[in-house]
Amino acid sequence: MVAVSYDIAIQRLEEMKSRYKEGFSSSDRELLEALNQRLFHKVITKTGCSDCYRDAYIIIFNHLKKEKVMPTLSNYCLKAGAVIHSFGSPDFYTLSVPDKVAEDYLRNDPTNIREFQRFPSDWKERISRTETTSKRKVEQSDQKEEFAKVVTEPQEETIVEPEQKAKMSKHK
Amino acid sequence: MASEICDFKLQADLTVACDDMSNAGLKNTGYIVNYDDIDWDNLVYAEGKKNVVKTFVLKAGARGYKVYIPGNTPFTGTNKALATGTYRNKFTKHVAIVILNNGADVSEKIIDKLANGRFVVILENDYQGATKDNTFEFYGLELGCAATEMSDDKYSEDTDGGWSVSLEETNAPTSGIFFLMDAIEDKTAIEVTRAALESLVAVQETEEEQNND
Repeated sequence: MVAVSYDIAIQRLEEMKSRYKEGFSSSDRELLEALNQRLFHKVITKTGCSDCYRDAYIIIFNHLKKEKVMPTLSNYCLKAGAVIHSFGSPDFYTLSVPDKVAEDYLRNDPTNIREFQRFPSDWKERISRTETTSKRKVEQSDQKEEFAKVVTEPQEETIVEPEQKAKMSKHK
Repeated sequence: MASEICDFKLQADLTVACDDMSNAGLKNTGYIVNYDDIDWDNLVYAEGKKNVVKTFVLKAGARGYKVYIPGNTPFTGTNKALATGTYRNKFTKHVAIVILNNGADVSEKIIDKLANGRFVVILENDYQGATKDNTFEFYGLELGCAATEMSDDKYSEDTDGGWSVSLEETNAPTSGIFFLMDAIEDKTAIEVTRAALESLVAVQETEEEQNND
């Protein structure tokens, strides 16, 4: 796969504009194939389209102009054919998986690591770290809820003597 | 050693689904993977089904390839047939492929490999079935498909000088094995399965390649 930076890719694509109508050169096609693989993990199939390279050119150029960066390699990559999804979300993932989704998935069942072909060497620490963080968040939110309950829920009516009232306000 | 009498009794009526009649044919695109690239430890069958696979994964770094055949009757000649044995009958599964291309690359990267390797092919039936589990079907999942016939007829009007290849799985114990993943939230089982198949043939970028940027 040809490795190209974002700036070089945009520069080359701009140059190719002039050849869009008359037809791309072989090096143009090579670049389009490399970019298509890099961005969409697909080869340009020369089937079912009248001019596959022109179509690919438009899709690639628009995608890069919109994203403004070359995609970075994800920390977690599933084996070909594996599909995962985060619970409660309609999104599912193949191959590249965002860190959070992968770590949530692994936290539920660490043996799922067998479905990944690439993962950070410290994945176990990562999932326990995020677990601790999320536990802390849950505890904090529990405390907040508890506090909110105390503040908002009507307390048992107690009769406070004027003397006591004066003492309480002092503590504040 | 435990032994038992095998139960070969029928378990369903031999009827016709009147509101969902089957029809012949295959879709134009199939998938082929090297038999040795399959992550067998992660092959999972659907619960309660002996012939529906719900997880089919390749080993780390491995990928599969698409097989596209144009025309109204792609993969013509593909079939399954009974193979009678002395004590047990099995099945022969035959996949017919044409490669409408030729040249050094085709010869080196495809033909030479097809001639000697073992493969698993997944084809999409035109008829999906009421529960959609007839959609994607495996050929060679049990014993692998190997080439039994390959020819490059330079004057063939069918292949236009390309290759005609026959792959066969002989003595497969199961008559049909299908691929259908579980549905995910609002995504149907077919959508999820199709996404998994696309990931099988996706080109994967390595860390090394990205570091070259």
